Amino acid sequence: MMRYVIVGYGIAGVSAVREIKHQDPEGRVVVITPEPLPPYYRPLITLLIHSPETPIELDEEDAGAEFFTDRAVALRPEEKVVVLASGRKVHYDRLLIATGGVPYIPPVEDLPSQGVFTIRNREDALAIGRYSERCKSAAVIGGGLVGIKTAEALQKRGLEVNVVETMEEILHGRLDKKGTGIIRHRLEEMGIKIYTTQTVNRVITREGAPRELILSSGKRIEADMIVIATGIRASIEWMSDSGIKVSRGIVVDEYMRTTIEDIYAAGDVVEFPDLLTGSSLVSGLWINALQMGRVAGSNMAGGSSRYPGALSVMNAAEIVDIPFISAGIIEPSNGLELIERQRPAYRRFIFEDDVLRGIVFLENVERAGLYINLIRSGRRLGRLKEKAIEGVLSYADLWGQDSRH
Amino acid sequence: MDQVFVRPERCMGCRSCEIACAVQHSKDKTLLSAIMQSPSPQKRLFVEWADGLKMPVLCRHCEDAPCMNACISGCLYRDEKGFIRRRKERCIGCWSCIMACPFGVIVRDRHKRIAVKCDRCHKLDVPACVNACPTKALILVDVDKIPGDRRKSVLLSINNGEA
Ligand SMILES: Cc1cc2nc3c(=O)[nH]c(=O)nc-3n(C[C@H](O)[C@H](O)[C@H](O)COP(=O)(O)OP(=O)(O)OC[C@H]3O[C@@H](n4cnc5c(N)ncnc54)[C@H](O)[C@@H]3O)c2cc1C
Repeated sequence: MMRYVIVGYGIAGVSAVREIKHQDPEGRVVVITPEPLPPYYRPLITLLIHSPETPIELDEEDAGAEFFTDRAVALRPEEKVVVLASGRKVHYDRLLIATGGVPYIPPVEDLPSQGVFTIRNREDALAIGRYSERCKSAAVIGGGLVGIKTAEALQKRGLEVNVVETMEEILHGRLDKKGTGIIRHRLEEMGIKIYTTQTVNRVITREGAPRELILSSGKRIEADMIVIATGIRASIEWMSDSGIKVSRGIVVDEYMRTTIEDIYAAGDVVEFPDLLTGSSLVSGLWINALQMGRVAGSNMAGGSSRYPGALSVMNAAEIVDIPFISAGIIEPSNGLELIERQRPAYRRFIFEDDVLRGIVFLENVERAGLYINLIRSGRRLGRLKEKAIEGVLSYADLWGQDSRH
Repeated sequence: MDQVFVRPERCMGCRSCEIACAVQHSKDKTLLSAIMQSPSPQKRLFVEWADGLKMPVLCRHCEDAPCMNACISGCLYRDEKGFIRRRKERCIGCWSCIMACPFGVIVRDRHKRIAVKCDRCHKLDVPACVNACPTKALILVDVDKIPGDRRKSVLLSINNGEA
């Protein structure tokens, strides 16, 4: 009987277990997770800041696995053993590393021990919500998607919210300048203060908790609490002595195999080549983690499925009531053509000749998936390019080629 | 399992299916009240024109449904009949499903700020769109009843409007 060990029970781990159980119902599955069960929709945690009762659990099914509430602290491939924080050693025949990401904390002087948070787990969000009850103001460091969602949630709790971002714009890399400009404007209208091209130089504390931040420009902002949302790093320190090849994340092939036999990896913890540019990417996306987990699980149980790869930019969100979807290459470079439309809503297209390479849709996000499929397939659009730009392209236009054999 | 098939050669572009869909998803499910309802009930399929072709484009309740894989809130699920449905109260309006659907058939309810998609009229034996189509451009086929060895060729001929 095969013994499968899964380290980390986020969506990558969950979908791997489902797939293993599906293909090898007899197999023994051991899951190591430091987080309480059941697993949950991680992207929803910012909602817990203002509404702690929001249901976020994943559909509970009998996973048919054994669970160890523990944390892996070392990996010894030569013995085929994972060592846990409790000292326990867990033997595996096939191992999946699905430990996701850990928040990156930039060096900030005088960061107090109280009133400073990161946000990655359910518990983090609940703690932020509880602590905010005694606060009037907050600073969110990092203006990415997670930072902005956190800022919105804290504002809903009635706090004065400041966002500090090193880059020129918030949502850097997620949207083009015009798109982020529109969203920034709306956030500011709502009363959220945004400081870009600035870092936090110092934190002034009172009784061990934050009071004020001094920014690189010299500006002082009041903040009774700080949430650090400056991105994540692959959670790989624990296995750094294992000999598995890592760079920004664990290096895997299209079967989700690492460089050591019988060890697979999936989700936010891995890096793989971008579908369009070939440059290495760490996903940070739910759907990618789900699909990678499934591919890994299938192959661990003896299958041979391949992960087709992903786009490094692919986002859907709604911020301050502005829906947006972006995908592919969103800034034009050599040889790429930029086309923008302002009406009925802002849309931007990046073409290489008649091949769609990227989109940004604001407000009117309908049919984005149709367009993203064209980006993925690299299909030449010919006369359909015009229809695509005018927003009247539909699946009927592609039907002839897709389904008639 | 019953599947809705589209035979574009038969579609006249009359939009009866769109109207039937909107009515079926209105409060009282009658044409008159659907017209009066404000905001108007939304259709979940779309009659589209392409070169030499008209056809209703609708949700296929895909086997490995990208919309469901992309859903980050636990809203989309596959029901016991195999249809991809919503738990409306769990939709947070993140539009991940719209990002994922290659057919472009998930839309927004701009008032409730949630995603809207085909539910295959799960309470009806025959979906409203199929029932309303005067030319049988939309038909319901029980794919399990077609013998396995003939399934592919039969489905292909249906798709090509021959059946
Ligand atoms: C606030 C927020 C909003 C987001 N919004 C979106 C969104 O809108 N759309 C989207 O697509 N994605 C979003 N994401 C990203 C998405 O949640 C991740 O891409 C996804 O959760 C990755 O899944 P994973 O299973 O690879 O890793 P994770 O979900 O990080 O799970 C990894 C698990 O491994 C555990 N672990 C770590 N180290 C160890 C160890 N040594 N031993 C044992 N267990 C360990 C962790 O505790 C965790 O439970 C968001 C993330 C956050 C935090």
